[in-house]
Amino acid sequence: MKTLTYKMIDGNSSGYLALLAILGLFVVAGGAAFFYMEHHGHWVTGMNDQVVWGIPHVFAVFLIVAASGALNVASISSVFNRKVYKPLAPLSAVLSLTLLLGGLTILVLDLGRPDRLIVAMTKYNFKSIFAWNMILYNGFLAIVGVYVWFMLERKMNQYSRYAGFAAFFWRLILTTGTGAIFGFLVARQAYDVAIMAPMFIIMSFAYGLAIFNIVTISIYSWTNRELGDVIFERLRTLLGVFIGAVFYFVTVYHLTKLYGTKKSRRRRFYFS
Amino acid sequence: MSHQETDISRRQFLGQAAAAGLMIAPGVMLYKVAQARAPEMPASSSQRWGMLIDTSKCATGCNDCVTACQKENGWGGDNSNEIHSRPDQKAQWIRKVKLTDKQTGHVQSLPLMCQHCETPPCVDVCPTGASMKRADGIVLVDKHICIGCRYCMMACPYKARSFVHEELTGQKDNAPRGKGTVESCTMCVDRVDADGTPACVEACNSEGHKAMYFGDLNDPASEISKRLKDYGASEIRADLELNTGVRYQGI
Repeated sequence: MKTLTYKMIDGNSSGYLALLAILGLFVVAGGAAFFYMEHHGHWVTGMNDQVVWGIPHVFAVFLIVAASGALNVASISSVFNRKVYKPLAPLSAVLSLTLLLGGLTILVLDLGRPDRLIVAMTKYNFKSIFAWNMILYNGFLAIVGVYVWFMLERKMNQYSRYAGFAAFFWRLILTTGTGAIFGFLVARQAYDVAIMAPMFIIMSFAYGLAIFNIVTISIYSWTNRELGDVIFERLRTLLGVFIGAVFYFVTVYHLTKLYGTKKSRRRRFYFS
Repeated sequence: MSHQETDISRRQFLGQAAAAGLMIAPGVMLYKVAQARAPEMPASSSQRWGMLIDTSKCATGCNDCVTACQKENGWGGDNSNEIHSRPDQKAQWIRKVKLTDKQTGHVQSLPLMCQHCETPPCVDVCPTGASMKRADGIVLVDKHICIGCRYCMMACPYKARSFVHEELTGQKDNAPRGKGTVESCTMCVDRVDADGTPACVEACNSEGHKAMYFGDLNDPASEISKRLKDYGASEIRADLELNTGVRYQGI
C-alpha cells in the first residue's frame, strides 16, 4: 500500500526568503493602507454614498468565494473518493483557510468601525443574511481546521471522510449565503435575482481551482518536484469545464436582466 | 315619610354626587394627558408617526426643509464639519428631488428622506441590529452598535442613508454623528418625543408653503389622518409593499 510521506522544506534557500520578503511587503502595504484609512476616514477611498462597496469588497468577495472553491480538490478526494488527489488534499484545505482569512481581513478592516468587531460577533440580527454569513465563515474555519487535522494525523485519518463531507456541505451553504448577500437586495434591480446563489457556487469552483492550480504548480516547480502529466491534465480540464459553466451562468444572469430593461442607462450598466 | 325629608335627602344626594364628580374629574383629566406619552415611557405602537407631502405645494427651487434639517441636525450646508469628503461622500439626510414626466413635460418637486417604512429593508439586513424600528414607527440607527458595514445603504430603495466618511467635530447634542457609522433622517425623534414636529415640517409651515404635514397615523382625529382619508396619497416604490410612514400627494 502506498503511504504518504510528509517532508519539510529547508526554508533556507534564497528563493524562499525572497518570496517571504515580497509577501511581507504586501502585508506591510496592506497594513499601512488600513491604518491610513482608519485614521483619516473613508473619504480617502474612492467609495461614496452611492457606491458604498468598492474594489476592496470586490477582492474580499472574490477571496471568500475562491476559498470555498479551493476546497474542491480535497472534497473530490474525500467525498467523491478520487484517491489520486489525496496527496494534494491538505494543501487544498490549508489554501482554503488562507483565502478565507484574507477575504475576511479585508471585510473587517474596511468596516466603518472595525473596533466594533466584537459587537458584530456577539449581536446578531438573524433576519440578516450578512449575520448568517459571519456564523458560516467562522464555522467554515473551524470545520476545515478539523478537516486538516484529521487528514494530517495518522490516528484520525480514518475519519477524514466525515470531516470532508461536513466541509463540503458547509461550503455549499456558505457560498450560497455569500451570493444571497447580493441576491436578497430586493431594492436593487441589478442584484435582486435567485441565480446569484448558484452562480456564486460555480464561480467558487472556477476561482478556487484556478488559484489552487497556480499555487500547486508554483510550489512543485519551486521545490523541483514533478506534479505529473495525469494530475496536470485533470486539473486543467476541470478548470476549463468550470470556466465554461461560469460563462453560462453569467450569460443567463445578464440576459435575464437585459430582457426586462427598456432602452435606458440600466442597459448600458449591464453591458459595461 | 314627609315631603321635607325627601327634599333634604335629594339635596344631600346631589351634594354627594357633585363631590364624587369633583373627586374623579382630576383622574379623568390625568388619564387623557397620560395618552400623550410621558418622556420616561417607552415608545408604544398605539402611535405611528408619519408625514404627508403635498407635492402641488412644493416649489422646485425651494430648499427650506433641507436647510432646516441641516441646521437642526448639524450636517451639510453651513455646518460644513465634513471638510475632507467629496460632495458625493457628504451626508444627505433629506434631498429635494425634481421629477419630470417625459411624456407630458410636467415637472414636480418633492423632498425625499427616510420613508420610515413599516417593514424596512434596512432593518432586515443590518447584521448587528443597529438599524432598528421603534414601536411608534420611527426608523433609527443605534450609533452604539453600528459597525459601519453600509449594507443598509445598499438595501434602502430610497438611498436615504449616508455614511460618515471623516472625523467630525461640533456635532449637535440632539444628533449624535460619528466617523464610520451610518445615519439618516430620524424624523427629529427628540422633538417628537417632546410633543414637537420635525424641523423640516416646521420650517415648511412657518414659511407658509404648507406642503408638509406630520402627525399620528393611528389617530383618526389627527390632521394627517383626515387628509389621507379625504384626499389619499401614494408611496414611492409602492411595488415593494413597505407601507411607508411618509406619503406623497400628487405623484
